[in-house]
Amino acid sequence: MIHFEKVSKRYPNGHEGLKKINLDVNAGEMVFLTGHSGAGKSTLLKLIAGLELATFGQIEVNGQNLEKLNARKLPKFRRDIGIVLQNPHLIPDQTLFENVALPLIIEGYTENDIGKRVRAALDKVGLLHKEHFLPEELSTGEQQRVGLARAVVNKPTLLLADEPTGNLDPELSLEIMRLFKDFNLVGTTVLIATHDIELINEFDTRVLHIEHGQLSEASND
Amino acid sequence: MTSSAQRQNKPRFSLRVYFSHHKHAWKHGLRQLSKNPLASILTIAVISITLLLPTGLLTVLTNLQQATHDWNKGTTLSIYMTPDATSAQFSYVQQALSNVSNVGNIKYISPDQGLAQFSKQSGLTNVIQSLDSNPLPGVFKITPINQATPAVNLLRSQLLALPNITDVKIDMLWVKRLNAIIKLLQQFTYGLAIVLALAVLLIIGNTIRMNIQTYHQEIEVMKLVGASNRFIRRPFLYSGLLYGLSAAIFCAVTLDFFMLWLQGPLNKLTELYSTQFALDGLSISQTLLLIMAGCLLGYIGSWLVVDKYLRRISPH
Repeated sequence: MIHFEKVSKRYPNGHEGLKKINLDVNAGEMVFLTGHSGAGKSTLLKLIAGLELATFGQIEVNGQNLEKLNARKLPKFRRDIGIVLQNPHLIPDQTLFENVALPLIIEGYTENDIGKRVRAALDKVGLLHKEHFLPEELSTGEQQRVGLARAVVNKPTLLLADEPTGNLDPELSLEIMRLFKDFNLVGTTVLIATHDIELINEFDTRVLHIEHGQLSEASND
Repeated sequence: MTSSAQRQNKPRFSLRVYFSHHKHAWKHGLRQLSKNPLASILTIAVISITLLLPTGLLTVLTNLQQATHDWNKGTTLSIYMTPDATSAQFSYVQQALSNVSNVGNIKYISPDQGLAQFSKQSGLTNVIQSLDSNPLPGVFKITPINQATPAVNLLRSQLLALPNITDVKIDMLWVKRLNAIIKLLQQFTYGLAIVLALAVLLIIGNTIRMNIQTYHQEIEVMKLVGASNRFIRRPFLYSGLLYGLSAAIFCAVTLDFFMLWLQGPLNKLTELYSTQFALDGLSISQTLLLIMAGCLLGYIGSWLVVDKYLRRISPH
């Protein structure tokens, strides 16, 4: 699903985000990515999502070589990836329903299908009863769950999350992580960047550690 | 689990998808206008006034042209005899005139009649009475049957060939001059319209640029979830079009009311001249043209800025 070969990322200011990274994530896997802030977690995720380009090396995601991905093909590529960020990036003047429906409208689903899928996704994250609420009427944890619902509503093959529990207390964090695990159980490949080691220990999954732009497998027990 | 297996369940591009995307774009284009109604109304008012200036000028000029076109029908020719012409020469000319094909009504004004008329109209009776002799020549006033300019000009040259004639004047020359001035003003108005159309492009472009800034967050989200540039761009193009459309409609309605408002005083004026003249507002085809121009300017104005500013936004 994800294949990195000697990938380096150097920023214009000279900062080296990633140094010759090799990485393989298989379809259906769930992987945690840990490391300090600024260690390169976000850079790695941005490269996978095509939000940034690698300076050197080859990246293949979902069977697509990202070097060959031009600006025209990028949106279509991104529709197969669900992205959850620390800030859920909800549209403030649209209801939860409308927020979650956006990826489906872009894909061109019928109104009937959109209704069914959005409600299923909102139900999954426990917010079906609030579909007509605006984002500002929700708590931070609820907003993050809406972001998650939007990321999975069009059943992406790959789910990326960058510090999805960064703003949440431990209890809510665990709840969110369990939702990710649920999506993984139905076949979605999940890659979550987090610095919350305690949370990771609750799950029996592969953990990657990134430090100073270099990647290593960490044991999780 | 391959991506192609999942892709199969997704809608393929079709006419239905096309229409649903456009429906979404219209909805969100409208939403941009209704989000801040006061600002939208002000923008529409500014564009509308900008459109009103050349459209109003053109309408007034067209009406003026219409009015003077009617006056043209009264074109007469004045044929001035030599002052020392004898009565035999007069009757010869009179006879000759009735044989010229394009001559309708013939009226003779003798030097005495002319002088009496002049002293009555000018009020210079004392001055005229002090003259030793009558300086005015005899004049034939004729009305051409065919009032078209070339026919009238041809007639004039025919009449000039008659003996004992000093000059033949086309009396409605000033109408022609007025027409020439109107043509000049029309040309000026077309030029003005082009300049003001550019102004409309700038106004709409700037409004859309600000809208893009307002929707910065939303655009980021759309890019994040894989919306194509075209999908993101469309609502902005449509809101530009809607600004132009509303402004054009507003302009047409204002202009019609303005013409109605002028009709009252105009009626009083024409009564004094014992004529009648109805002001024309915009015709249906002119109104449609104005609306089309408004839509087009709105769309192009938006199109000019939208790509440039959308490209600057990327999710992070």
